[in-house]
Amino acid sequence: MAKKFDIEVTVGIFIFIGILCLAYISFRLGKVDLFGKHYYPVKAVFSTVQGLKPDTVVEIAGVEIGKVRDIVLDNYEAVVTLLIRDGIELQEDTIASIRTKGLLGEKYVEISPGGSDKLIQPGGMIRETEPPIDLEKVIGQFVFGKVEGNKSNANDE
Amino acid sequence: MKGRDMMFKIFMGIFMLAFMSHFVWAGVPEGLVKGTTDRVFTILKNPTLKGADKAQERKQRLGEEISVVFDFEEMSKRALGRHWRERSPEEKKEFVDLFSYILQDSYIGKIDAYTGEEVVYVGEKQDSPYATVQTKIITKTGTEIIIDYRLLDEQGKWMVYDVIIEGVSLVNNYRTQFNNILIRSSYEKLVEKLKQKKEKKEVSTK
Repeated sequence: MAKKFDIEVTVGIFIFIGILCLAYISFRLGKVDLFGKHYYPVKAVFSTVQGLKPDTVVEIAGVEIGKVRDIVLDNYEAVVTLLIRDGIELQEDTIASIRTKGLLGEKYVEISPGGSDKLIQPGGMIRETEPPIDLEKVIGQFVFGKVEGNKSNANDE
Repeated sequence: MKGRDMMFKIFMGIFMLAFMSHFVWAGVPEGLVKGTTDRVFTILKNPTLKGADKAQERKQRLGEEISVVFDFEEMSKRALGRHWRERSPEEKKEFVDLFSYILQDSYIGKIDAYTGEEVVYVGEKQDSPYATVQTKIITKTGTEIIIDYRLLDEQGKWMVYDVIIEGVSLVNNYRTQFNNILIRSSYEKLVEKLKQKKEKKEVSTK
């Protein structure tokens, strides 16, 4: 009898461990932060966000310090809510810029810390923002600017 | 009855004042930018100040106009970012002097190359104590350049602390550069570099 009981207990323990592992894996894969890291929200208004999506990383000096929670349109401007890890202080003159990794890589939000004594409170706003540089527009301006520039020079001569 | 009447008038007065102040404030930053731009243009168009031999005088006049509205201390503070707080008052003053020289020089150099561009005022946004004045420069060839001026209300006086050209912030541009230098070497090296740049400019303008 004692032997049979042992087997049942062992099986039970194994199944229990199996369920625990499954739970762990699903939390990890689903990126659910149940324990540990806490974040506080900060808003930033951009004239355009172009290709920025929720869950995009927020970085200072290339180190991840948070992520984008959501992006909504308000008065034809993009209001981005960022979740910043607790303990990371953002000064009032902090600048948030949307940058691209590499030439055609994914977008991310780069934060450059400021020198102000005042800090942005949770729920506050980053006032200084830079929208992503529109490469196509820049190329367009360069190309068209050049073409037209040459033309006007030709006319002058 | 009379007391009541009086009270009503006083209340109306306060109400009107509160309402008025809103209108009075609106447009102040834009007016400031507009005023300075107009004065800069009159200097640039002034026939007695034209030509290469008058460059020095012209630049000086432009510098005077610009330093009225540009808050160079706030700009230096923001450009140095977190390194600003580590500096002593003397170092801060020295840095503001150096940085404002370099800023003025590069900015004036740009406007001095003026060739009949037009400035259009798109609008103004206020979120006290901050304001943004949105402008557009239209070149002769029709290319539009969007320039936003960021202003800060400092005890009733609006001052420009950042210029954003086509979405690129002037302050952030310098902040990134300064930060790179400060991380790789020291503050003394940065000041030395700025001084060298200033000396070079002074030699070339003389």
